[in-house]
Amino acid sequence: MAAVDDAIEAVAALLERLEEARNASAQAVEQTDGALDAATAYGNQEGIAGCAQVKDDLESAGNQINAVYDAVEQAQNTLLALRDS
Amino acid sequence: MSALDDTITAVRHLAERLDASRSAGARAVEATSDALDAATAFGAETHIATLVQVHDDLAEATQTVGAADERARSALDRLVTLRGDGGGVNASSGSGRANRSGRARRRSSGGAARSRATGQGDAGTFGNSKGGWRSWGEPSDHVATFSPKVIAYGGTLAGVVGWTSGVLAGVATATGVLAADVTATIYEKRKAAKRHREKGD
Repeated sequence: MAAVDDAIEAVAALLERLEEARNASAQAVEQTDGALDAATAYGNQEGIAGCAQVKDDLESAGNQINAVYDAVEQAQNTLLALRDS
Repeated sequence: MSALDDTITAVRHLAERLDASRSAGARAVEATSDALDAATAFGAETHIATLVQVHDDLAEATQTVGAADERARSALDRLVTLRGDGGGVNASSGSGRANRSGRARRRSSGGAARSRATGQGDAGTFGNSKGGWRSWGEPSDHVATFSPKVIAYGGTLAGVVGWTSGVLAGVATATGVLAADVTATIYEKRKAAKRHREKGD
C-alpha cells in the first residue's frame, strides 16, 4: 500500500529529526554544565540557580525526546511489519 | 564566546531541532492518517487497527515533542535573562559580551568617585577649574571666583562703608570750618584787646 510507504517515509524523517534533537539536547546539557561551573567559580548565586534550573529543564526535555524516539521507532517497526505482511 | 553564550547557542539549536521534529511528527501523523483512510477504503481490518494504534502513538509523540520544545524555549528565555544580568556566569572565558558591558558600566559608575578622589572632577562652588573637591580649604594658585550672593554682600558692605566715610568726612569738614571760625573769632578778639590795651597805655 503506497499510503503505508508514505507513512513509513514520514516516520523515518521524524526519527532523523528526533535523532538531531537528541544530540542537540545532550550538547545543550553539556554546555549548561560549563556555565554552571563558571557561575560556581564566580560565586554567582543567581547564575548557579538559573543554570541548575535550565539543566533540569534540559534533562527533562532530553528524557522526553528519548521516550518519543523509542515510541516512534516502535511505530516505524509496526508500519514496516504491516507493509511486509 | 563565554560558557553562557555557548549554552544559549546550544539550547537555541535544540529548540530548532525540536521544532523541526514537531513539524516532522505532524507530517508523520498526517501520513498515517492517509494510510488509515486507505486501509478503511480497502476494508483491511487488520491494517486499520494497527494504523489507528500507530496514528495515536505518533500523535502522542508529537505532542510530547511540543512539550519538550516549550521546555527548551523556557530554558532559553531563562539563559537570555541570565546573560542580561552578566556577572560570573558569562565571565568564564573573560570575553563574554554581557561581562564586558557589565564591567564597563561599573567602571563608568565609579568614574565620578575616582575623579573626586584624584581632584580631577568638577570644581566646587568656591573652587577652581582644577582642584575639585580637594581644593576646598586648601591654598592654591588658582584664581578664586565668588558667588553672586557674596558679591552682593560685598557691594552692600562697600556702600555702607562709603556712605559712612562720606558722612564722617562731611562732619569733619564742618567741624574744621567751625573750628576755623572759632579760631578766627578768638584771634580777632585777642587782636582787638591788644589794640585796646595799647591805646589805653
